[in-house]
Amino acid sequence: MSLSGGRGLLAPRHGLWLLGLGLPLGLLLALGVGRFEIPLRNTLGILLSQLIPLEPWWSDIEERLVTWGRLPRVLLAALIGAGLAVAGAALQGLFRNPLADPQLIGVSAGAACGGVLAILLDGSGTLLVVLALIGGLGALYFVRWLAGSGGGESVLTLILAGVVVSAVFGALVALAKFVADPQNQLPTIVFWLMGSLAGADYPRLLLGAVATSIGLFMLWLIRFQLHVMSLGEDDARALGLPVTRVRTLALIAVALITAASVAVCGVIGWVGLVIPHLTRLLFGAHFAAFIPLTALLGALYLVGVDTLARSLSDAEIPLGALTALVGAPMFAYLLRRLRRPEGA
Amino acid sequence: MRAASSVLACAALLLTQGAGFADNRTLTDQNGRNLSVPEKVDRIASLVIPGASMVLTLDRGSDRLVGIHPTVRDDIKHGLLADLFPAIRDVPANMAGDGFAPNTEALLNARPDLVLQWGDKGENIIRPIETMGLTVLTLKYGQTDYVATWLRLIGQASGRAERAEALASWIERERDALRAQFAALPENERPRVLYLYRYHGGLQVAGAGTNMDFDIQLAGGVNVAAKTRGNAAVSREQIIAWNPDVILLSNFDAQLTPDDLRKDPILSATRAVRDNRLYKLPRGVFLWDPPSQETPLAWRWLAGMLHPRLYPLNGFRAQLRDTYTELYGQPASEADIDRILHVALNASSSGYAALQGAAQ
Amino acid sequence: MLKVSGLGIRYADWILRGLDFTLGAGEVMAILGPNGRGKSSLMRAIAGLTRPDEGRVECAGDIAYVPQFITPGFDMSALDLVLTGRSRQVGWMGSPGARDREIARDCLRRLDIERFAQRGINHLSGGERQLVLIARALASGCHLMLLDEPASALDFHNQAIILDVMRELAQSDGMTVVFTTHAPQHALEIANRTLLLHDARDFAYGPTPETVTSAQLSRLYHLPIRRLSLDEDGHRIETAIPLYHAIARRAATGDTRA
Repeated sequence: MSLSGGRGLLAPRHGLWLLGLGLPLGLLLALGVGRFEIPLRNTLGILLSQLIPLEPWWSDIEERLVTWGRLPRVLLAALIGAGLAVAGAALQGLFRNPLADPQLIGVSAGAACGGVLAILLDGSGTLLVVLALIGGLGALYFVRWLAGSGGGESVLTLILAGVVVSAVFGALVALAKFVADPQNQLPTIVFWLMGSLAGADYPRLLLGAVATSIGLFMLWLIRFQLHVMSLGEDDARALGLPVTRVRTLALIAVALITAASVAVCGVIGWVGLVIPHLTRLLFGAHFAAFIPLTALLGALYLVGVDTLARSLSDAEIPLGALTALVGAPMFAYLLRRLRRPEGA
Repeated sequence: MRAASSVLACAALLLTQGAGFADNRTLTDQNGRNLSVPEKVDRIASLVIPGASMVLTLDRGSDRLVGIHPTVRDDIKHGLLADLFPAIRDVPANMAGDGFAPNTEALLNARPDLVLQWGDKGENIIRPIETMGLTVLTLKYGQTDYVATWLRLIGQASGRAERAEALASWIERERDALRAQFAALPENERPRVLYLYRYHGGLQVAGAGTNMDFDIQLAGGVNVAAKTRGNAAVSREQIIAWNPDVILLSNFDAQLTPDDLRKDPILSATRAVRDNRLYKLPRGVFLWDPPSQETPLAWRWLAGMLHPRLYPLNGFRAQLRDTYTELYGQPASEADIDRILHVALNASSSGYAALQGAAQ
Repeated sequence: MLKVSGLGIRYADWILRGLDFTLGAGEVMAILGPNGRGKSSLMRAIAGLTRPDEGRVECAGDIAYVPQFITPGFDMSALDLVLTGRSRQVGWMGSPGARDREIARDCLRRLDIERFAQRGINHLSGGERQLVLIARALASGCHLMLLDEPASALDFHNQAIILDVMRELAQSDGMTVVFTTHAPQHALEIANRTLLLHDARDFAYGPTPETVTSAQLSRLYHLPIRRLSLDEDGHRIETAIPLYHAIARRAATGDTRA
């Protein structure tokens, strides 16, 4: 078996079936798990009663927990997981760098900075979401401007610009922490930056769903072009691909997904890094199925990790810490496989 | 001959130090460090947050305070501190940074005779002050009844030992009385209590090892979050699983009100919300959440909220007024007391009628 | 088919200037020159990947460029690689359709490498990978194919296969083929015309038999090279042999002439 082969452990077609059926099952399972014990038949009944009228055999509090607590949180985890995984995959193809991640091009830092500003302004949830989006897109604009917004920018200057922009926004966040009211705002900022889905509710779900779906749809539209870009800009240009247009479109989609995820649940790392590699390992790199497979796997992964975060102990385990803890060893394992001589 | 040589030695010390060696007092602070404090302490800088209001209490005035922690500005903004001691507004608050790191230059500017600093957060926040030749008294954070020790140490170091001792032993008597009161209380009569440290921007509650954990137990309650440690982030679902009888709302989340919980689609299903046992903690010169000279009042109030029949709060307003006179040399007005007890916010909470003023 | 007039390319200095040539449809052209003389730069300019600093390149059809190597970010199947040849037809969004797939498969079949279709390209040999890259160029529906040192890294057997494919494309499809090489015998084997890049302003261009001569080759590489004719089963084989030992002898005698 080989990581870098065109083929993975399973045919992409089988992967789509497996994950397509696995995700709803995983969601159901996650909806049935939590600190408050709810029998699975009650969970199922509550979910069904949203679609068809049923005589409740469950309690009011069970219904509230499932519909107001678990459902938006699990759906949000699925969306954010799918979004971040595909955003990472798109960047890896775009930059031909297996370590590319939304954090690389400064979008996470920009979105985080916008969100922190909202907290400083004592803003409501809506303001936070809006400013995080503005921050993320602003960072992208800044990066493109730095890299030279004409057609001539190279991958290297883009990545360097991402480093610069991340540093600037990171410094702004540090400055904001410094001026924040230490009793009221600072703990909120720290908590939010840590990354958590605990604040999931329907308004956030709606926002996450709209932004992530648009981003995912855009990336799906250009799945073949991203495949071509993974051969390198030069080759893509020689093949007649409008490289700059494709890259702009992909970056906007990535920024949209990343900013939306930062806005609704803070900075969650490693999903965009680990999942695309895992997809390749399991199902190969056939481009037509790659984006849907990555999205499904990312959704399953974050739902799983978040379920652990909220149900392992009385206190919530920080989600960002958990994704890193699960992601880093997995990535180390993948890295060792990647380092094997190619074509051998 | 011997007398002559010691006189010479003293003279030499006087020349080199400029201050009277013989006039110093020695004491051992909460870290077990021995220190020698000038006999006359006129200028005190406190890098610990509650230090300011303890000095105010010992002095019944803010004349000796030359430096406070920036967070004390919150008490000026939200609490009664500046109403009782308007001069506190002019005390510099620029000497403590992130994690209580001292700003030594600002400290030297204030020329303090005594600096109060935390002793449980490492040497790195203490040594720079000592290097500047300043005298540091360290206090330890952790348990609510440490406040008695803090008062004694600050009193001894600043020449108010007698008053400090009186206050400290009052705090300990109050503590022992409550302990005795609820010692025999069976487990099933202890209400299950949750202290909501933060609601906006992420739910956090007080777990084991916190001041509120100590306070809840002392006032005859059970902390439902005792399996977590420190200020722990939890899910709404966990709170439902705990289903507390009483929820205490912290002052650290200044915007948090009982109505937030009544409107919360999930938390509104807790027994505490159904029975209307939601209480925003009072806030006087200092918050009642962390330890301070007002802690005995906080304990009584909490016991009254948890055990309305066993521990009725009849005459609590009068007690509060008298205690304020004793602590600060000035009584609290009826309007002040309404503010302290958050009477408006807590008006519809169960049992709060007993704390309403005569006017209402 | 291809007309290059007054072409100039410069980095710090001019590496090529005043280059003119024309090439007709179905012709095969070889470009020879020492390392660093600007063969690849010239190919990129013809392909339209870089804008020449002077002069013009005119081509009456679509151009496909076959790089010597590709380094994909991630492995992909040979079929997926050939599909990327359809980029121009697919456009900036959307995905290749059934027809594109059919064309890609046809091109693999055409080069007799359909069996590689599902194999990862990182798992192909150098010769196999070169064939896949040519199939990709073919899939783009080009009229002019530019190949950058297509046979340089290959063994003799694979060299023969690649040369045969290039000749076959020109003869039966009327494809115009331009390739760079360090092997004069490749030019002599399949190229109608050859361009020798002696210096930035010094070129030789013409029909291969008259251009690839002992004298021209010796001048090009600063080494005596002898052109030979062999009779093999009644076929006349043209080839060239470098006299490598001349360098060592020249160093011993202090002779600095070419």
